Amino acid sequence: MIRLARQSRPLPVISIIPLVDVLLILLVFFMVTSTFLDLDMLPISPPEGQAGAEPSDSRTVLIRVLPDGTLAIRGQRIAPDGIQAVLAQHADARVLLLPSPQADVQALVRVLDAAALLGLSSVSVLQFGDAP
Amino acid sequence: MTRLYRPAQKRPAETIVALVDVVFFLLVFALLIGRMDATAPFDLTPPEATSGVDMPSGGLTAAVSADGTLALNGEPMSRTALLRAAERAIGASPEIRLRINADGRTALRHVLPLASDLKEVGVREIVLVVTPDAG
Repeated sequence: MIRLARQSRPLPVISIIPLVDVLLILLVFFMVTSTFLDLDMLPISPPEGQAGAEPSDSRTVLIRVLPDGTLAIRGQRIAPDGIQAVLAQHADARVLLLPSPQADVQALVRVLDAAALLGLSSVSVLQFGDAP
Repeated sequence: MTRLYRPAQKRPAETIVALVDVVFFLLVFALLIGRMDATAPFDLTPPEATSGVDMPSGGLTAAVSADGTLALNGEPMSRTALLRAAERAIGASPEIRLRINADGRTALRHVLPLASDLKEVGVREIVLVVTPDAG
């Protein structure tokens, strides 16, 4: 009996170059389409149980944010860079912010930012309700 | 004269595996660190603040453009649809955080009532997206 040995087939070579090409294209795509923004968060409504402690002082200070972004306390206008000094005088009081609907977000954030930097625990944002 | 042939030096095999490793690493890095612009389908510049804190990603993102146009997770929608979608998301995951990504020039009449309505539909934690103040 004659045994015929079958020649072993050569394994197909998988080229890695197309894979590298695809990876490089994907990499360039993600680098071009992604934006690397440094974003932070400012809590405006903390979850229940994480709200600030009640102020030791029972006084309440109402600060209005006017349509042009300036602030007013007891009818007196405050320069934007003076808000921190004003808030520092009322550090133990409850601070109520009443922003005008026409004021911009940056104006409100400026006050919240100053309050957060001073560590004020009781700052509430009020808003006008809809007319009945 | 006898000629001596110098045996041809074997060139070291250039391994492409290291290159693939580096490319994979960069790809995963770009995927993880990069933020697709899906959270806002329009141009907006968040307000600046120095007291903003870094928070984990995830949750819902409501974008508000300077003229009051709304979007939720990158999809433009009406205020009613946004509130309905937020309510559905809260039903599925009650502890979900909602980020309001509003332009710094947006009038508060577009933002504060929205935040109130979101509280009413059950959103417990609302944060405002800010950029660190360069000054």
